[in-house]
Amino acid sequence: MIRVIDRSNRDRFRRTLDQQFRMRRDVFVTERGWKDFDRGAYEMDQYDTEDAVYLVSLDAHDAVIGGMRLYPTLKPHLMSETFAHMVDGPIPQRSDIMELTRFALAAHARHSHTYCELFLGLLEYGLGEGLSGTMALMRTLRIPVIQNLGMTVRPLGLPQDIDGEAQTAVLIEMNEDSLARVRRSAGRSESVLETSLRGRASTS
Amino acid sequence: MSGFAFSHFQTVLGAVEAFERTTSLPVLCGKLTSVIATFGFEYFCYATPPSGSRPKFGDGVLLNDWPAGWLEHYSDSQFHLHDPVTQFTRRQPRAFLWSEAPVAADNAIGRSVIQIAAADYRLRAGLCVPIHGLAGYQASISFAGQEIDEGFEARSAMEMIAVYAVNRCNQLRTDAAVRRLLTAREREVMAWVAAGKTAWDIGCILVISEDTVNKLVASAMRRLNACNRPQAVAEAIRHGEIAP
Repeated sequence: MIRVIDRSNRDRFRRTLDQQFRMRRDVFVTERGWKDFDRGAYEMDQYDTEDAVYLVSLDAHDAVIGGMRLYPTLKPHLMSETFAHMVDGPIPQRSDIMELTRFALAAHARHSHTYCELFLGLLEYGLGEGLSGTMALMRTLRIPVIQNLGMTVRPLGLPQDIDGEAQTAVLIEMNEDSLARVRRSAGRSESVLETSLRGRASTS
Repeated sequence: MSGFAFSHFQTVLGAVEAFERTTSLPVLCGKLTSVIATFGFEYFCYATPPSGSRPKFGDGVLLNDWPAGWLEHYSDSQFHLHDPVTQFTRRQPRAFLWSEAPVAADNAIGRSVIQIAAADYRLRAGLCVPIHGLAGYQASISFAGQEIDEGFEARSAMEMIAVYAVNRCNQLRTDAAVRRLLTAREREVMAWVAAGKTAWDIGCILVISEDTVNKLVASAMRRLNACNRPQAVAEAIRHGEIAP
């Protein structure tokens, strides 16, 4: 199940958000060595603000096993401030495009179920919010993986080296066709979003 | 950013669009061959690695424009067991030049594979792009030619072109599988019916009983919604199940 945490409910879900920062520390600081963002028990950067939206994958016991962060592209964001050279042409800055960063799976949850669930959550959330796409920096190797799931991915620039890995700036499209394809390949037909949050776009 | 890099990215965007417009594998194959010529590549081969149940390299090839004869030569001689590129690609997180794949000191066959490819088939230099799925390494697509652009920008562009060609190839193959009305065996039998063969002839050709042939034709007729054999042949052609 995917829990969406934004400014409207971050107090209510403080515990989940806290666990999310701890999981990110395990993945990005301990495993991948991003020392710059080590905040003791947490991994954090300047984009972990009230504007960020967190999609968090929870297991049956409400423990955080994966997640990602979305950030409005109308504000200065990671791509525009740090990785502008990855984009060939204007960097998307639109109300219907958010930036996706900190995509992570906890080490014990790296299987297709959680992976698919996160992308289903992204599509459901994005479609509910009227997003046309999310921009992301991803390992080039991963592009065919998510294309195979049914996601539509457009390159925004040529692959380049970042910390010894080939990375590419991409735009992940949000549309009903992608949702239908990913649901088919994941063998799931139900919404993955937490029940209490469904329809929040229309009620808020 | 340099004008040089800009034009490479434009080539990639043009290729992605062109691939999306293709509606069949032969058309995609032609498009890919023309796009890669920009970087000096003349040939390509997209293949999943052989496995226990499918030991021949040729059976895992999904799309290719290799020089005439090379694929058969390579597959029949089981060169994939010795080719340094096919061994190396499984562990690579990114595109690499064939020349970067290490050749073990005792791999004499591997060295001759490289020589035969270059001397007899114009495959002097190549670039291999590993393709990953959810479970890790899945397939590779290799590009080759006489004088290829080995620059970093060209390699990056080729990597993107590879990813999008593979994606389109997979989509077209899935679409074709979904669209198919007949089973492989039914198609085979109907192709012989279309060629004017009797059930007895077909039984001899496919080494199955006449009775089995008749059952296959009957089930093909049901699937094609046809009341007799000539109508079934016409419908099979109309649906693209057999060649006209």
